[in-house]
Amino acid sequence: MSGTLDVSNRKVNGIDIVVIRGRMDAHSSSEAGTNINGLIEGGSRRIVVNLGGLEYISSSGLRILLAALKQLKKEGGDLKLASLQHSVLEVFSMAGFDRIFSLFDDEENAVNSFE
Amino acid sequence: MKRYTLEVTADLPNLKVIADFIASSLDGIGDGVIYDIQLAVDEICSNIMLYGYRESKGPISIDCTVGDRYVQLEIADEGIPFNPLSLPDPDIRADLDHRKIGGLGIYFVKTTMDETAYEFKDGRNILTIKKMVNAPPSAE
Repeated sequence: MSGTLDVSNRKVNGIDIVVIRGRMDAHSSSEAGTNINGLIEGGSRRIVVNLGGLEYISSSGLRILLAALKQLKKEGGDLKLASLQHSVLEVFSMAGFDRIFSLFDDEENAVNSFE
Repeated sequence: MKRYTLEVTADLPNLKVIADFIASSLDGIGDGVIYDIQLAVDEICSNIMLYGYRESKGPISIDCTVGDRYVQLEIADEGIPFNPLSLPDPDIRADLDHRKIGGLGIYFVKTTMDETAYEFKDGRNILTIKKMVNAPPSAE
């Protein structure tokens, strides 16, 4: 077991929080995708992904988050990202994803942005 | 000049092995440089693992050279001949509805590295990437 990615779930004020820690690469990202897709299929429309413990992301990780955002928007929902580390934020910027996603300094602000 | 080599099977769980190899080979060179090189090598190797080998999982070999002011890596595989550098750059300004993910990984390689080159030789795809780094503080 490589233990490269941990995903856990919480709920705060009716908003689903997904906490992703570790590495999101072409091997490990699918676990995060399965988790978020499961929430959406279960009816969740407001999701905050806390990336404070995410140390690394590749284009495979971005693909998973983009697919989730597109699906949620289609269903009238939204996905917000919180607490990105500097190195992860750099990858988002390089891809232009910082303009597509709503990014927040911390989880509380992301949750409050849902009103 | 120092050289480090790694050979792994083109299997997705080995991406972590490759990341650890880069981190240990480049220890002390600066976190930002290590991150960029890990990202570039990860994207190249992911492509090989996902698309390079049709039926069997063949080898990927990585040759890392660390010079005074540069890091150069040669990544070779025996999969189908393909030059990933020929992929068009994605439109990173497209809005959500028009956003496509294809080509983003190789775009990261081109963006983070100072030099990139591809050749097909003796039945192997060989991708060479190079990044210039600042001289270590002790060199003055």
